[in-house]
Order: sequence, then C-alpha cells, then structure tokens
Amino acid sequence: MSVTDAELIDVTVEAMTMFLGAAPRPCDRGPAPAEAMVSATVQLGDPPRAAVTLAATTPLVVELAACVLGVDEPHDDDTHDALGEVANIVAGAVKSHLGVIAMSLPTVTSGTHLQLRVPGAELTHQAALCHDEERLLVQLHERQEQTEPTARLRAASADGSRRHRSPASPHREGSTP
Amino acid sequence: MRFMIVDDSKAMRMIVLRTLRQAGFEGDCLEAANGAEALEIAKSEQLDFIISDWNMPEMDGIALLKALRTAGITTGFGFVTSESTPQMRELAEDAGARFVISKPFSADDLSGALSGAGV
Repeated sequence: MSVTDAELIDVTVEAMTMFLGAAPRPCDRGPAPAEAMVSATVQLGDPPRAAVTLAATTPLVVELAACVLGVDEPHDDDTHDALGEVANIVAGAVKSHLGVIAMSLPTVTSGTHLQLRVPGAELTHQAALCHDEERLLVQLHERQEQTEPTARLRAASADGSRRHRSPASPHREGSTP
Repeated sequence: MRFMIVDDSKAMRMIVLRTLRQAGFEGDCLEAANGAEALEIAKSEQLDFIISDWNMPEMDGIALLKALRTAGITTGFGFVTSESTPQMRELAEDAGARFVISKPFSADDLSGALSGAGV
C-alpha cells in the first residue's frame, strides 16, 4: 500500500482549508531555507516506518492559528499547536494508505535552515502549496522494507552512501504541542 | 445541550466548537486537553455528549471511553480523529462510541453524525 502525490496534496489542502477557510494552491516550491519557518513532524509505525513533515513560513502558521482562535497575534504555543494539528490530520490520512497502526504525536520546531533527517528513510513524496505569498512544503519520508544484512551490505557497497538528505526539510527535534 | 470537547490541540477544540455552532448546536461547551482531564470533568459535571480525539497524551480517547463506562458514566460519546482505520472503528463501536468522524470534517459531517447518535 502507498500514497500518491495527488492524495497527499488533496488531504493537505483539505486540512489547511479547515483552518484557514480558504484553499491553498499548488506551487513550485516550499519555504526558502533562509525564511523563518515552523515545521511539524508525525512518525508512523512502531518502530517508525514513515514520517510526515509540514514546513510552512511563519506568517502562514500565524495566520492558521489566528483564523482558528479569532485573535490577531496568537502565542507561539498556539501557532505550533495549529501546524502540529494539520500535520496530525495529514499523517492520519497517510497512515491508512501505508497500513501501519501506530502514530506519534506531532513534534514541532521553528527557525531557519531547518533540515529533517530520518535515518534509513528516503524522501518519497513532496509537494509545495501557497496561500497568498506564503509557502508550505509537505513531505513523506519512508523506510524501505528491511533487508537481510548481507543484502544490505551489498547494496551499500554498490550505491555508496545510503543516507539521504532532503532540501528545505525540517529537523525533528522540538516541542510537542 | 451540554457538550465536552476533548482534544490535546487547542486549535482543534476551537474548530470542533465552531463546527458545532455552524451545525446549529447551541448551549454550554466544556473543554479538556486529554482523557484524564476529561474523566475528572465527566465525574463532576452533567454532560449530554462527549466529542473526543483518539490520539492524545496522558490518556487517549479509547481509554477515556472505557474508563467512563467502567465508572458507570453512560454519556453519549463520539470520536473526531485524524486516524480511523476499520480496526479502530470496530474498537470504538465495541466500547460504545456512537460514531467515528475523520478529520478534516465539515459541519454536515458532524451534524449528520450527531443526528445519527440521537443528539
């Protein structure tokens, strides 16, 4: 079982629309590394088999929380909570496609030049959305099926490094809303 | 009607409340951020219906529902959750939940589920 790019975009748009009251549109890129952003990650499976990450420019996350809470300047805890909940919704939808049972609570962090590394996992899906001038990136990292040690060694020596780094993706450490 | 909304996300509690109002439900609405907090409130307050998330810290939604029934509290209970596999739906139904709604959801979804639950 797997998820398609279209399904990932659809559920992200639906979740964002429930918060914003307006649908973000697909666009060419997510937040630039130097932009202030907030990211939220939810891991799927126990042990983790996949991770869903949303990274959005800070003004977009502030607007998410402001729309829901009906305030002009939401507290940082509330902005983190809002993006964490959107990530939770997207991860819940992805989870049913992957056939896993366990799902973590969201982990949220903020800053610039955020990078996510999920050891042993590869970036399998990625989509960018825009709302006005603000940007959001949604990513799915998946671990491949576990292989026998001998096969793994052969694959590593044939491919060189097995570590995968994705651009403009957030680090996992941070607060849990 | 007196509802209690249980969700660890303040934003989601506000969305559920807003959606309840859009669906035409008025009256008092209590909030709890996890199952343990909700259980304490349910023991001391008269409630007509509880709308709860599933995946929460401290005590999750299904543990809350089971704890309520063990305590003899028979208040109607429905889940609004981001994850709703067939197994979870079966577990929820067996424990006495009236419905399981998947997030994201609309006012129609919530209104229909509450009507089906006799609210």
